[in-house]
Amino acid sequence: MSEQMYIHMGPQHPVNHGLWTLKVRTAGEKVIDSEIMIGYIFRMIEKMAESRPYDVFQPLADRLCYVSAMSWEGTYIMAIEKLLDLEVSKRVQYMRVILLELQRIASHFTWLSAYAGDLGVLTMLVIPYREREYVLDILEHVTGSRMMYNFFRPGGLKHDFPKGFLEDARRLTYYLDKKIHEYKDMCDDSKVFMMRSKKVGILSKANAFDLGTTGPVLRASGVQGDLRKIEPYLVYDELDFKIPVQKAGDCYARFQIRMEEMQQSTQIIRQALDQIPKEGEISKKAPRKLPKGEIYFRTEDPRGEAGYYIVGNDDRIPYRIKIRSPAYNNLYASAHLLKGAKVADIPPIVASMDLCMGEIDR
Amino acid sequence: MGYGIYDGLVDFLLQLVAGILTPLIKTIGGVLGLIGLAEPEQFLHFEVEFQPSIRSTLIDTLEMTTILIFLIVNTIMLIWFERKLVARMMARRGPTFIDFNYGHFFGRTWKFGLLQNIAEFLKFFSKEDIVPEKADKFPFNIGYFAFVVAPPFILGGLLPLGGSAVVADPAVGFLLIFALFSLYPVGVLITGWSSNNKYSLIGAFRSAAQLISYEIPLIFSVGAVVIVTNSFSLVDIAAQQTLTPFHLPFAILMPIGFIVFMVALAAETERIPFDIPEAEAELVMGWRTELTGFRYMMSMATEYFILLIGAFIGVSIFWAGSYLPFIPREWIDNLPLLPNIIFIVKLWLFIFLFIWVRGALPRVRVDQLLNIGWKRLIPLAVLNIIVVVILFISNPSLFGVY
Amino acid sequence: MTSAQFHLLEIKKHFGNKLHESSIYGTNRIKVHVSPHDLLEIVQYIRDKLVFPSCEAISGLDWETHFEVIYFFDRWDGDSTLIQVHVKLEDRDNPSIPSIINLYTSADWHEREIYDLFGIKIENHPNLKRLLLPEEWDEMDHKHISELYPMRRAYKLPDKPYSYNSTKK
Repeated sequence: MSEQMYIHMGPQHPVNHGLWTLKVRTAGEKVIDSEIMIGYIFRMIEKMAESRPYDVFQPLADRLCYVSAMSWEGTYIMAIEKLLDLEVSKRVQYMRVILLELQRIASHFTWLSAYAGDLGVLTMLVIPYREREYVLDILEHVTGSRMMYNFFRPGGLKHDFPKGFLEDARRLTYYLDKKIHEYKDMCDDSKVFMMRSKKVGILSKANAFDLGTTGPVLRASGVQGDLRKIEPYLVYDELDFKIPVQKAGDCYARFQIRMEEMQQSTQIIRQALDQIPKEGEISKKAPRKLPKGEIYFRTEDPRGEAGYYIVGNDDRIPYRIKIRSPAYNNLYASAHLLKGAKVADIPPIVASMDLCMGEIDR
Repeated sequence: MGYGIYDGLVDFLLQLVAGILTPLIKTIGGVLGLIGLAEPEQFLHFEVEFQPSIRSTLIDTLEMTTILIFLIVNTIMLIWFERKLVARMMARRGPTFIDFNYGHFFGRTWKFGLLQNIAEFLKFFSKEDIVPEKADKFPFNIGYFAFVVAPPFILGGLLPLGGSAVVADPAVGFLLIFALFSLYPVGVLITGWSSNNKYSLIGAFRSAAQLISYEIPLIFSVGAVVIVTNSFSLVDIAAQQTLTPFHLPFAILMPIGFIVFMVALAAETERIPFDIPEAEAELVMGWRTELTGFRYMMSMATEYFILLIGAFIGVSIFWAGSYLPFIPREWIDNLPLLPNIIFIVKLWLFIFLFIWVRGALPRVRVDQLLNIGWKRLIPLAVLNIIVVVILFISNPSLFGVY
Repeated sequence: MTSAQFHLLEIKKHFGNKLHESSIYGTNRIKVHVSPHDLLEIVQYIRDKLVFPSCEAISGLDWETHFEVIYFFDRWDGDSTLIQVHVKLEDRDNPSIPSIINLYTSADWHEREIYDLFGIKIENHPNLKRLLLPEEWDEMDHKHISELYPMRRAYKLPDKPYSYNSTKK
């Protein structure tokens, strides 16, 4: 076992789910060290942001992540509103909550199928896409687009919900509840699934902080770190929901967190559908110029803390936009988790981080 | 032995040849006699006769051709069956139709995707055959075909097709099949190593470790059957299961052995809970990463071919071959074709189990796999032998020995 | 007194004369301006004494006259206070800043990104090479020297028919 060799996994390799390279140094089946190389789809979105008016940048914010475009554009618009000191009506806030939570469910379903597919359960690779497609259908019904929505506007939304949406969404949440429960049971009952997930890629609480992880990865390590509770935005403080927290910090804990989060999301959507005010201003005129000042605004993306640091300079064009991506730090953390793991553990560890190269390379 | 269906045909053919040759040679003899080169009396009572070995060779050739065609057709159907079934389990449709309209060759579209595998067969053959530049050419070209593809094709003659229909039934029986199976890791190792790719290399070593460590429980699990039946012949073992109480098969009489056999067979055929050698998540395609075109097709086809042969063994040893519980042997044996039909139905049920498992389970890790093999299956197989031996000594009639 | 005010008071108490500027914006964002040679000290204090275990992000900012590097630190224990440490780099031609990788491991990629896109040298970084751009970017042919560090203000996006041009109309 003294012979070591380098294995390049990427940029095109089934483990990657995107374009990046994982260079692992192995001794037999054991991973000694690993290095991650990114930047294959670097598009300089931050530069593009500081060379066009702030409203023109919004469709590009969608393109940060193809799995959860809504949350990225939502975060951007909410940051801009915060900088402009713009209030939006209660109805719009509830509508935004519904859309963001639907997006979270869709994103977690994608994650579930990717994770199961990496473990070799081809059935679980395919089936969750059906439910995701229902969620995308209802988002398409609202926004007119399946993935790149471009629906948020500074001061509101593009337009109101279509007729019959509230009933459709409510029906969908009950259906999703049933299916999420079913998938959770399917995976929990599978002994092989547990063998592959439990005690694999253990991330301790101290390391989770040190490596800058956020979102489900952080909560799986025993930290109650959810910005919807810590720093409530929109109307999350008026809604009743729990933040799942697990102590184990392994791949199975991350799996549990995400499954429970989906269940909580359906509850949030139902509450929001109950409480949504009938009347309210849908859109509002926003100032054309960003004032002088700065803002660091963050929300709870499906992957963790999505943040925008925006510096305005009394101009239509923002002076600087820094995009803080949760998957960026989670990917960095995965390199540390791989140390000492088996080669066969690479796919579950990397997949449990829920990567999206669009927001990592930016 | 033999299927017995070609005896008449071969006799007829040989008589036909003799009937043509006899007058021909008599005429030639007459002509030679007229010229004075030979004695005409020599040819007066001449009859063309064939040695019995020619007859049996001819019969064996025809029977081997039959079983090979049967195996190949079943392999193609097995791939189609798996695709369809797994697709239904995944809530998709699988291959639906394949338009074979190459210049109206078939002239129509075939339903249910039945021609999918034929189409892919043609596609793979039309691909460029790539041998990697840095590969070790000779072992890459030879080792794989010699040790992976060829052995299963030799086995055809040893597989019973229901009842006593088998081309050859040597005394070593299924030991010969297992022996030929054990050439498989050699070929995998040669191909994986010589293709000069790290994925292939890791896949090949995993494959070798897995196949070698799972041969032991596989053979141990049938050890109890051999003790009970005193035979290695698949035909004899199947027949003995009609002598047990209520004609129960060995799968019910020795369940531990059956389970060990199924798990070990899944590992030997590299099916999904144990498809670690080709774990596509981390090793792309495992030891066959560098195989392209018809090489790749042959490697995949061989995998299914081996599954089919494994099903033959499993059905014969544990599912009583072509015999059913509660039904006397004579009822089945006396009806023509019924044993063969029952056998084929059982074969497909056996394969269905494997496809079902494939649709339901993730793959295990390589260290977990070896743990299962060495720490669970081998002790279980030994336990099975002990239990069966104790039962056998106390009551031999339980296993059909009087 | 809110948590943010408390933390700001603590920082002021310890680093009173070293802070160029300190304020609270929003409800819970603490903004502290320090000079580069005081950075490690204040980051150490924030991590150990104020218990901010997580470094969220590090952002570069090109003010055309000078550079600024902004560190974001977070608590993650139910308290939403976030400390922004602004470091002003006066030397525009040869900017450099000490690495905080020994205090926060997650700073690794963020610092490499700043080096990559802004050309700010990170002192004592164990693996300082380009992250998002190709590693051999420096040796490649460039139309303009500003392409070396594209997030500096000097670099303008190429004028293509489909790119937004603020000078039109």
